[in-house]
Amino acid sequence: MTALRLHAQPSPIDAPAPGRRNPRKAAAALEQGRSRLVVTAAMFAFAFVAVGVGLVDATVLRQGAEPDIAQAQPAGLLQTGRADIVDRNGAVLATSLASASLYADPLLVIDPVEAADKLTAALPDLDYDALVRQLASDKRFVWIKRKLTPREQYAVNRLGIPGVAFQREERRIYPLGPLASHTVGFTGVDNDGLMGIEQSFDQALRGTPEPLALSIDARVQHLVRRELQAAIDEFSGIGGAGMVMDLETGELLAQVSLPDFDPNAPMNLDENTRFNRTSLGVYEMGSTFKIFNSALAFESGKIGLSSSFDATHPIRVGRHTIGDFRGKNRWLTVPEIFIYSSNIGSVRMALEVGTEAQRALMAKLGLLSRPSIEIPEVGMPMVPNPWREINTMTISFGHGLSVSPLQLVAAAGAIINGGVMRQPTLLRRDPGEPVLGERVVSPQTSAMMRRMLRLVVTEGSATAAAAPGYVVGGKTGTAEKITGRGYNRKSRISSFLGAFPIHDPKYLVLVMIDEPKGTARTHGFATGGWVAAPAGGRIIAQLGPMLGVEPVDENRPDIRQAVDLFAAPAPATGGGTTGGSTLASY
Amino acid sequence: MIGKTTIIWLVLAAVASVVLFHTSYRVQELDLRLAALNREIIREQEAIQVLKAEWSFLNDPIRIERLARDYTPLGPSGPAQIIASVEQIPFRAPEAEGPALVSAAPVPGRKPAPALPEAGESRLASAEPDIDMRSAEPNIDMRSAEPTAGTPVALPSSQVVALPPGGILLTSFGRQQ
Repeated sequence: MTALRLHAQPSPIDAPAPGRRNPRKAAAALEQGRSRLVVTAAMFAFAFVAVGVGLVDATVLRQGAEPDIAQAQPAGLLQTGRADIVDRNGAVLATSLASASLYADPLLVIDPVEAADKLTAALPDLDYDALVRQLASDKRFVWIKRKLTPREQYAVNRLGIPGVAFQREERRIYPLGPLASHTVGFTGVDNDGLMGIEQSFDQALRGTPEPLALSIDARVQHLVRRELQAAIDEFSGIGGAGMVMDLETGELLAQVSLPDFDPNAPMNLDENTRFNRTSLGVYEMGSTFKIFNSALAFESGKIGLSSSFDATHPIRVGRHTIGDFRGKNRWLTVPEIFIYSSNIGSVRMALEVGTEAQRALMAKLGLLSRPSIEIPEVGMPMVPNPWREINTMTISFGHGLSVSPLQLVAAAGAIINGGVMRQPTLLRRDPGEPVLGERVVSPQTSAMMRRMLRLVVTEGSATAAAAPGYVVGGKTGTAEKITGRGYNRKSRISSFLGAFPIHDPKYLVLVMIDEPKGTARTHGFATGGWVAAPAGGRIIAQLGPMLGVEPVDENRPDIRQAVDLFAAPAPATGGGTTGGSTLASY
Repeated sequence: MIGKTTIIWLVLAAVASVVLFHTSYRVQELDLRLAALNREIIREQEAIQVLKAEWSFLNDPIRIERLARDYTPLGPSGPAQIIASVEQIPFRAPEAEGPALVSAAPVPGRKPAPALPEAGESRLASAEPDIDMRSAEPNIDMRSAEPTAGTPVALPSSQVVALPPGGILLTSFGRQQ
């Protein structure tokens, strides 16, 4: 505006009074005034151009670079108070849904009795007397009921009671119910994790809308759970544990502990149901430990496939007798000790290798320390201290050292997968991510162990676990549980640990039944071979197609080459009598 | 001359202010629209969240297995029915006549019926699922060997027996007794 006025105002220089000044002087002054005006005008023009350029720059040119004042809602993921938990294929295991919670401001409630009448009619599970007392109190805020269903919300809304209102809250939903209840866990009324992944990832789940992907595969989990439940039902067990591990990555595709519960309503859980048998429970595993004992023997270099040991007589140690179940009562080679599951032979092998080497291998296999897994329910192994010779003897066949099934799976995985210990995990690994591992046994030992495991399935106690097309190798185990001061012959842990395809092991399966009872079909036996191995076989037969494992002809020459021991012992004879030992493992 | 300049500037100022006010109202309008859209997005996202939960609930393997047992003659697929890689498919014998390896897709929406082996039918597999489990003819598992991470559908304890171009997933589960 200033510039406009300058131009518009008549300048005194433009109209000089004639005759009053020297015309030359006046002309000079006029010239000077003009040039001043030009300079001033140029300055103003420059200033305006600068402002104009600035305006264009600010409004037209800088649009993209300038921070948006208007914030658009990020598309895609809803920012909830707690992120979803999904399985490895994206199936939702836990999610947060908005729901309404009912509260009241008692000072605004006109007639507490009438309001309580109406509310209990709409929500029958409310306690009438407590509600009247709450509504008559002189507080300004009382919860009436948390996390209503939409139907309940509608019913209460229809009543139109003054002083009663809804508060938006998030409700944790587990759409697949009990499927992975022990792994996923559950949350309390204020959405704080109280178990499993919900507890250990409590902070992480609150921080990000990104769903947490577990290594669990809902299909595999269901398969294992179904077959485990069938085995428990058939043999009237009190519980069971089942796991499937990817041997290349250490991911657990299934982690089942039965009995389980519905995490949507985790009220009044008894200890047996809440107990995670796969990772919190520690058990004497029995004969599956002979995998480690044989690996120990091969690793020592003192014992080979053709070494043989005297299993003629039971071994007496103090007041204990170590004998064999269906004993052969003769000298046995190392593979024979393994497939007939000879305790006597195992003890002799362990004694030849020595206590220190045994202890060192067990430590390397992670059997002596608390395993690391992403849930808080992890049991501490029960390690003998001091580790005497008697402990060396009993541990050789799986007694005297209690470990969790999780530890067993991780350690056996290391023996089978080529000798590299990989940390089991419940989180999905990216396929490209390198998997770290520590070598615990040599590849040669691992290869020999795979052949021996195959032999147990073709000729030993785990024949029921054979799944045609998938070359299964495995070992059964039966251990008596300690009740009170001694071993109880009636309460057992029967298990099967198997890997397939054993010539190129990809998956490891563990089935464990707690306190199975023999049936007429099994001639009263409740051993791992009768109870757990058939379930393991059924799991593998369905797991292979599900995970796209290529079925092969088991008699193909290259497969036989890869899995057969050079000298296969004579086939096992059926039947037999129960060994008279007080410490039996078979 | 002076008047003209003044008028030009006044007109310019008037135009500028009209444009300014117009823009300002437009911005307000857009702000309201943005807020409404943001609310709508949150509503939609919540609805998606609910639908995702429901999808997962409906895909509960226990439920699907029960449905499959009650309404279809399908059972869990066995090793004999799986072809994990293309290399495993043998080449067609040169003299064989008939359609390509996988014949035409079944009519979408049609309930799968036991395929009758016909002469001249594909030598390997028909796209119609072979429901007779004892049949020696294998079904082609069209899924890749590796389950892809992004698969939105939990295929609970099931195998995709055939994936015709129509996009129907014929699944099989349950225990075949």
